[in-house]
Amino acid sequence: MTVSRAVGAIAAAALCVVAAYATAPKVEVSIQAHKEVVKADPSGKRTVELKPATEAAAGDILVYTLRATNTGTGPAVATQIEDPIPAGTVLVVDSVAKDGYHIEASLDGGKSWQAFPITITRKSATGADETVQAPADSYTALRWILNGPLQPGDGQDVSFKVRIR
Amino acid sequence: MNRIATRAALRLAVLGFALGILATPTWAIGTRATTAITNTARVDFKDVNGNSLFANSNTVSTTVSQVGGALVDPDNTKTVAPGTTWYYPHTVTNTGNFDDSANITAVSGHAWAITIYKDVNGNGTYEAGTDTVLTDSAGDPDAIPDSGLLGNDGTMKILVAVTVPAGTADGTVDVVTVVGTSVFDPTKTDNALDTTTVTAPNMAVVKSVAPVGAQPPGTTLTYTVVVTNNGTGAANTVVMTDPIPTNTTYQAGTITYNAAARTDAADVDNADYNVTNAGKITVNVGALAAAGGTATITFQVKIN
Repeated sequence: MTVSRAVGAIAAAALCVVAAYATAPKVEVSIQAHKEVVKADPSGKRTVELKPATEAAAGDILVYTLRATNTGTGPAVATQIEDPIPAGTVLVVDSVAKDGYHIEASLDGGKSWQAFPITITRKSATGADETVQAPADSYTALRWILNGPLQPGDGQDVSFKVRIR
Repeated sequence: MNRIATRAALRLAVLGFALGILATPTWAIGTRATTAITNTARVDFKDVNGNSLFANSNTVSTTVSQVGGALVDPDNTKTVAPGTTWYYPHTVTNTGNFDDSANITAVSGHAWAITIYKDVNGNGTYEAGTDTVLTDSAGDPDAIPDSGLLGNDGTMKILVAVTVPAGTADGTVDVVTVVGTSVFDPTKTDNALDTTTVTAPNMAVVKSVAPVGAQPPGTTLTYTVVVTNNGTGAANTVVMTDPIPTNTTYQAGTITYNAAARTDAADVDNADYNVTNAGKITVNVGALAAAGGTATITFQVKIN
């Protein structure tokens, strides 16, 4: 019995080590940039293809795809992916998918955050306050807050589009 | 990129945005070619014990390529008299995102003579000796006058000189189409329209006689000549001449001008008979105002 107790103690110690590893999430985030290339076939039907965006013209639409992946051994909680709207671009507001996470946006370079899409109050032509959607070019950053924990091996994609000024 | 650097980049982005609004008109393509658009994301998370962790992504970079663009503004309208030249001012803008020049052409719908000047002092009016004829830039083989190299959003001023040919009819409307074309991308063009409405006198002469119908020899006939300017431009130095009909004899001292008697001699009054023009009544009507200025001349003859 002494021997078996000793084995049990070793097993317990081993479990403890495993448990210690299990509390270590490691979330990595990668980003890809593509540009939309609109093509029209002879019948005039237009299709949009995505091409690598190493080079793009002013006015082009860039699609940024962000992937957060938990490569660690424990769940990550309160995971949020944050990305600035790059200088020289304007957010395409309706390109921001809203499923599976809570999205916030910033109009001041990340100093303050509000639920996306942001509404602002401004003076109308008649001088009265009116509430309108924030202009696309006023967005400076986006962040996606995942609803639940990100388990080891799981990933989450988010994407948005910008137009090059 | 660490957190501080990310914030700095964000602030730069905001600053750039604000400068862009101030410095560039809304139609311009703002981001200059060769600019790198970079994007780095960040992920923040916690472990089950509440420890905060984060990671930055790779950085993706997109180099902005050149887009051409040319704008010519504004449209102009002017009322001009025949035989005169009007200089229509325009601003040419490079709306592309890199240094480019715009070829400038101007064509009159009536094929009137046109000269395009560079408005050297940019004041919108032509000064001989200051403003110069627009030419093709050195090294540009297309032989089409151009704006010269303009930075993105750069502007220059031109004058399009339109000469209305002498004798052009009152009310003639001509449109000169001024076209700016990006040399970098000739599919990018813009045009401005200069609409010239000609103002000129338009003379009508109506002659009547009393009595009317068949008349026996010896009858005195009174001729009435009404000269009217129906045009939109004033008429100057109007002269009316009228030969005395054959088989009649002019009755001395019968000329009237707007119901006032005139002598037959070429003297201080504005009418004579058989002096300025042999065998004719000649009346120096002078100026007749636009849109209905009129003069009435009468004289009498007797049938031989």
